[in-house]
Amino acid sequence: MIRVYVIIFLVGCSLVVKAQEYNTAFHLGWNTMVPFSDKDFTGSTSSAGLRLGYTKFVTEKFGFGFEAGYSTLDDYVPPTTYEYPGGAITTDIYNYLYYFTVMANGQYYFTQGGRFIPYASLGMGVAFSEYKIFYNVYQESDNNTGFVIRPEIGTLFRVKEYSSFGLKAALGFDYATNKSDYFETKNLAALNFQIGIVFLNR
Amino acid sequence: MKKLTGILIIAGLIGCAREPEVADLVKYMVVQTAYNQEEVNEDENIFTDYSTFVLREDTLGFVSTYAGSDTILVDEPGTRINFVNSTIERVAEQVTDRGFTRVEAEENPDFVVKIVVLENFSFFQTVSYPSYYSGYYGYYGYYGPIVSTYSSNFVTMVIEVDDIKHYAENGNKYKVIWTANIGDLLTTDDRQNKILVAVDKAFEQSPYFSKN
Repeated sequence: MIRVYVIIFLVGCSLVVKAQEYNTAFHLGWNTMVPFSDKDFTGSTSSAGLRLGYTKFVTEKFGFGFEAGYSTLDDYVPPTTYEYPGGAITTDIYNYLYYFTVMANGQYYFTQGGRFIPYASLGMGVAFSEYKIFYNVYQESDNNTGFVIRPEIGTLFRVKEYSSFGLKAALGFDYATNKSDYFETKNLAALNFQIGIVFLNR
Repeated sequence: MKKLTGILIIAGLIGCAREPEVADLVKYMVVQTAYNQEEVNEDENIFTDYSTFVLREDTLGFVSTYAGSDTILVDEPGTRINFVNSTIERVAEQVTDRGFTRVEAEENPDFVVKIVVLENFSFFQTVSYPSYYSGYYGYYGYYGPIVSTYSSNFVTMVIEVDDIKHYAENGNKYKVIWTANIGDLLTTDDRQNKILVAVDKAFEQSPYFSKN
């Protein structure tokens, strides 16, 4: 009887493996951020971003995993005189936002059969941000931690039909509760575009 | 492949964690000015009550929080200390242009203009000036001390106006009326010219600093 159970279990596993072409995936991507919020602080699009993620495929259609991301947004304000009660200051300012996220995500794969593997995902996690200004040799900063949610659509692309190496492209939107009272910024919102490489493991 | 991935991750992190270049940062000096709101406000402007000022010639004070570093700066052509006379002349010119007459210390001036270079003091993040000076200190001892705040590794030029005319009314103390902080002198190139630009900016952003 035990043998029968073992055989059924092994057959079942083989069917699952057959149904889902891959078990895990690891990706490394280059991320570009387009800020939607606080354009007075950092309004420029930035390509200084990195994404690192791991996915466990549960079925052919579903997977879950985690992802870490790091991006830097920056902007320059030419010399300006700022007046305030009791005085004024003239300086140029370099505004920087260092943005780090760690999140868990779930993915839905429309198909795993072809070389293109399109998907949609939703991630949630923690965002750490440092708002920092540089003026001459002086600097001030404000750190905070918040909740971030990231809906994303994208596709994996296998370079060969049975290759475990592929490329990844994704478009996502970050909304984080991070904001700086010191620099009077609002909740962070930004569009992300990611391209990278992916390793698919059977 | 793992090594390549590791290298890519490290290179990516280094690329993301960027900061502005120092050469770009020190392109322009920071100029901060502050006025005594008790003496300059919507109802009154003490500068209209002044006529004469005193300003030392040829030397600037140098005050440091590093022990034994205090000194007097004199122009030394060909060195980094080449901004003393040009700065004093430009400050005198700016104050004179605003309707005040430069006199000697013995001629009972209404206010003193002090210029001191401070090392290892910080001004721009936390400005905490005392409103009055009563003691004696350093280069400008006879007209009271320059500000003191918490330390940080910067070199700042401070131009300060202290009231002399109302010394007795102020309880035998020299009241600070106006200050300009210019920095950083240590890292900037073309120090002499940039200081002159900064001095002009300090007066430009202080329109109340006028006899009329």
